Amino acid sequence: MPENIPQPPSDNQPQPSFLQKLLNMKPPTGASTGAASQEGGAKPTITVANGNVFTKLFGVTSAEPKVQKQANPMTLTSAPTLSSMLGPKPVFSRETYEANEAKLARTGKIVFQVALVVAVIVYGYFYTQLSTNFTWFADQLGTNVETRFEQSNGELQTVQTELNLTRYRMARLWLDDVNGQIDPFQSKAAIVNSSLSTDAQKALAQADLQKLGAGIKKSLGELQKIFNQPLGIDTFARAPVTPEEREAFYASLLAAELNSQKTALSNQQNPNTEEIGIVDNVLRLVQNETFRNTIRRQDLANIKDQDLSAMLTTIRAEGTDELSLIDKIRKKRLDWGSVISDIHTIVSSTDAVFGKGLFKSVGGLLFSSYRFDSKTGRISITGLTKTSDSKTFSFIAKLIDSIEKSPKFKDIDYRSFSKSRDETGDYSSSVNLDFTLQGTGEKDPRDDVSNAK
Amino acid sequence: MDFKNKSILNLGNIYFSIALVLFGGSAVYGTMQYKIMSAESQAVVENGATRDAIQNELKIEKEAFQKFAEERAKKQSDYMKKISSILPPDENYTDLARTLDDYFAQNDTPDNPIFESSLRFGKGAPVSGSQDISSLPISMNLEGTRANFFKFLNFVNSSGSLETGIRLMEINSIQLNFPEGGEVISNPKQRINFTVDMNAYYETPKVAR
Repeated sequence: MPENIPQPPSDNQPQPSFLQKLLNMKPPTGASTGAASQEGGAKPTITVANGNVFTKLFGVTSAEPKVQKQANPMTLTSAPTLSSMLGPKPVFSRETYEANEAKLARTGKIVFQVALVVAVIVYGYFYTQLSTNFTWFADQLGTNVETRFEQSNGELQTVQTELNLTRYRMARLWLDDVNGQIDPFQSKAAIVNSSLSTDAQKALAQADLQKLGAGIKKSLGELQKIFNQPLGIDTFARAPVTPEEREAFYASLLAAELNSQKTALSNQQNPNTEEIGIVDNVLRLVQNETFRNTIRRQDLANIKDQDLSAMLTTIRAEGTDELSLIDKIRKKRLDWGSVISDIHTIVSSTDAVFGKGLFKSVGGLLFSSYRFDSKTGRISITGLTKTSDSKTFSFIAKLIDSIEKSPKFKDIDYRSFSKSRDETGDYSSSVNLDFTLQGTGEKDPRDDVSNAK
Repeated sequence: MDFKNKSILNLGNIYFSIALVLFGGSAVYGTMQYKIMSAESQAVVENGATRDAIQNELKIEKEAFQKFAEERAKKQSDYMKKISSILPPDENYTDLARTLDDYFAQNDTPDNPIFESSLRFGKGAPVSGSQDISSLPISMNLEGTRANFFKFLNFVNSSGSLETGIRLMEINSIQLNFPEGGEVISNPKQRINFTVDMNAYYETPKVAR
C-alpha cells in the first residue's frame, strides 16, 4: 500500500468524520427548529431522528405562516441555523401540479386547434386562387387568379405567334428575293474575276454586280430587322426563364402552328402543293437557327463585293429551302466535260500528236472508248498504242506516270503489258487504263509537286 | 412525487410546439403564395396591355405583309415557277421527256446531228441524307457529233440554275465509243455513240399519294 494514503485509526472505535459530526449535530438551545420553533421558542425537545441537516433545511411547513420574532442579534448567544434563515418549507402539491398541467394541456389543445384551422384556411384559400383544377363557384365568383393568369398567357402566346408567323412569312419573301438574285450575282462576279473576260465584259458585269449587290443588301437588311426581333415576350413566370429558353419556346409554338397549317392543307381534298411548299419553307426557316444567326451577324454596311459573294455562298450552304438543296447537288456534281479535257491535256504531254487524227501515219495513242462513273470516280479508257521502235512498254509507262503524277487523277493500275509487231515493222499494243478522280485539295504522295504547282 | 423524472414533453408543450410549427408554416406558405398571387394578378393586367399592343402591331405588320406580297406577287410567281421547273414537286417524267425531246430536236441539224435512240425512266426515290429531295433515274442511248456530245454535257451541267430554268440533273455514268475509229479531238463532227445514266431531281412530294 502506498505510504502517502492516510491510514485509518488503529483503535477499534473509528473517529467520526467532520461530515458525520455535522449531520449528527444537535440543534443549539434557543434555535427555532422544527415543531419546537412553532411553539414560540420553547425548549427544543425534537432531535433529528431521520434525515440530516440538508434534508431538514427548512422549518416545518405552516398552513398559516406566522411572523416570527427575530431575536435581537446582540442578544444571540449562538449562530442561527440554516432552517431559521430559509424559512418554512415550500408547499408542493401533486393535485395543484396536475391541475396546472391539465390547464396547460387544454390551453395548448385550443391553440393547436386554432393553428390547424388557420393553416387549413391559408392553404385552402390559396388553393382556390392558385390552382386551375379548382373550378367550384367559378360561375358565381368568376375564374380564380391562376386560371385568369393562364388564360392571359395563352392569349398572349397566340397573338405573339400570329405576329411571328406574319414576320416569318415576310422574311421568307425577302429571302426568296435574295435567292433570286444570288445566281445572277455569282455569274457576274465570275465574269469580273475571270481572266478570260474582256475589259468591256468586265465593266458591264461590274455595273450589274453593283446593282444586284445593292438589291441583295437591302433585302438582307430587311431580313436582319425581322430576325433581330425577339420571338418571345418576357412575362411573369413562377420558375425563372432564360431568354434562350423563351426564344426556343416561342419558336416551338411557331413551328407547331406551321405544322398544323401544313397538315390542314395536306388533308384538303385537292391539296395546293404550292401553298404547302410555302408553309414548308417558312417552317424550315424557323427551324434553322444557325441560318438566322448567320444573317444576324452580317455587317452589311461595310461588306465588300468579294465578301458579299462569299456570304451569299454561305447563305446558300446553310439555307434549307429548295435552292439550298439544289445547290448542294450542284456542288457535288461532276463536270465531265472538264474531266475529259484534263485527260486530253495529260495524254498530250505523253503523245504530242494525240487526237489529231495522225495515229495511222505517226502512231502514238488512240482511245476507242471511255467509261466514267461518278459514284466511284473511276475512269476506264481503252485504246491502242503504236510506236515505230520497240519501246512500246516505255511509252505506256510514261502515260501511266503522267496520269499518276497528275493532281487530278490517282490510283492507276496497269501491270500487264503485251505488244505485237505488224508487217510494216511498227509495234502496237492495246491499253486498258483504269484510274480514279482525285478530289480537289486531296493529297496523293505520288503526285508530282512541280506539276501540282 | 418524483420531480426528477418530469420531462418537458408533456401534452401541453407538444400541442404548443405543433401549433407553433403550424403558425410558422402557414405564415411562410401564405406569404409566398400571396406574393405569387399578387404577381400573377399584376401580370394579368400587364398581359392584357401587352396583348393589345401586339394586336396593334400585328395589324400593322399584316397590312405591310399584304402590301409587300402584292407588290412581289408577279416576281414571286415567276420565282416559284422557276423553282418548280428546276425542282418540280413530283417525278413529272413526262415533262422531262418533252424537255429532252425539245433539246435534241433543237440541236439536231444535218451537219451537226444528235439522235436520242432510247430513253428509260426508273422509279424515283428520296436521296439518302436529304429526304426533301428525290431522284429519278434516267438512262439513254445517244448518237451524235463530238461537238453535240460536249454541248449535251454542258446542258446537263448547267441544269438546276434559276438562270437556265432547266430541271436539275446529274450524270452518274457515261460510256462513249467512237464507231469510226479512235478519238479525234480536232474533229468536232466526229461521231460518238454514248450511253448516259443520269438522275433528274424533284422535291419529295409533301402530300402522300
